Amino acid sequence: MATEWEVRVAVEEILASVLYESPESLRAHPALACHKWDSVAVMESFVRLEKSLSIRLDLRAFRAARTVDDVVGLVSQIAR
Amino acid sequence: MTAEPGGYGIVATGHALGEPSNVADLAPRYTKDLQKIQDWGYRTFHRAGEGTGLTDLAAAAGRRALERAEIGAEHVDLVVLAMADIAEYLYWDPAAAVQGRLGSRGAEAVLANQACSAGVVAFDLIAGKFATHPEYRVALLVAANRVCETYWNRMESNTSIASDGAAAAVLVRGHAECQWLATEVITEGRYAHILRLPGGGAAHPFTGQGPGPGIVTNPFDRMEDHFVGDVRAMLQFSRQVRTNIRDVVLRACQRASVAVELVRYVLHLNDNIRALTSFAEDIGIEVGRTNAEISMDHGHLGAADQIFAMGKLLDEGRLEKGDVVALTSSGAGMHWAATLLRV
Repeated sequence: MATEWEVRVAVEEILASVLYESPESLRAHPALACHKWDSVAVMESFVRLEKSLSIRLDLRAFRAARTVDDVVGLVSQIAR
Repeated sequence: MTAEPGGYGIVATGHALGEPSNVADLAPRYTKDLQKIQDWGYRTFHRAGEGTGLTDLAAAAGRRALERAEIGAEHVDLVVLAMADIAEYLYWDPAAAVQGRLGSRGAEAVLANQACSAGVVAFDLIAGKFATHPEYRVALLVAANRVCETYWNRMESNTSIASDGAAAAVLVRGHAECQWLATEVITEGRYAHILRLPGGGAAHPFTGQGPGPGIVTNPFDRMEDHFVGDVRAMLQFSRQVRTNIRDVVLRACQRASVAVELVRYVLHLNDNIRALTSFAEDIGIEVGRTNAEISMDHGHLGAADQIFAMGKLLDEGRLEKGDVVALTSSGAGMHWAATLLRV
């Protein structure tokens, strides 16, 4: 069981890595559309989050995420 | 490699488009995801009026190109129709219909149907025909798109906004300008099922009873169905889509003995701005040297995007003699294609 803080850190690190951004940049611009959030980035993030946190995510719900907080919320529901 | 023995060049281009339509105004008619449409960046797309079919647009574009080339239709030896969408009728050859409409009696008519790659692939087909038919002097390549909205949602069935229109090029043997240099194609038939309409074909004929033929769903859902939700396999496929387009450009450059750095413009399918930006990065070219702006103003014309964009660049005087232009595409099949032209 990960804490909400651990989930947020993991999500920000993975999204930052996939999007070639810093976690600070993601916090400053949390809308994923501001970054290179294309289908490859969606799937890459999905796979890395599942592996890193040992969880199973719902792809359709994950695709619907528009912000970093949306992703944190989705992952938190499962990881906590 | 020189362009001989199938060597030819573009003498003139022409096009015919549906009515320009404002994306922001019409988006709610096609999708609930208006944010997606905003992110895609399109400003305008084209819709043909009711009663205007694919071959109407094709014949109009072909006629315009021949007029601009000052070549009579009766002098055309080969008509190639490239299309990604569905023509007006089943059990019917739209290439022959276009030949007939143009009045190019006696010209051989050939249909190229490699989805959105057909317009790029057709250049190679024409080189082959010129090579095997020494008497052929003039070929007319017409690429056309006419969305059938019963089967295809213009803003949901792909990652682009689908438009109606056609573009044509008059190709003359031995013409020294806009010379064809090479075409390369990669085909991966194991992905053939990713883009298909479930019903209406011989496997599940539409009888008028029971469910209809269906509609082509969005690419992500289709990919998820094809790979049975295996996201790792989907990711691998998506990466391959991107590496294959880079590889096919490199192969075409190698075949033509052209350094890839010397390619001035890369004209891809009229995809959304985010996809075209990624594409430009993958190819190693500035997005300003792609068709990105043309795409935002016209939408995705199926197999006609590249010929249309090439015509625009020529008409606007943006190309200089000796410039190398790559026409590229990825399309259902899956096919990845690149054609090199030297202005």
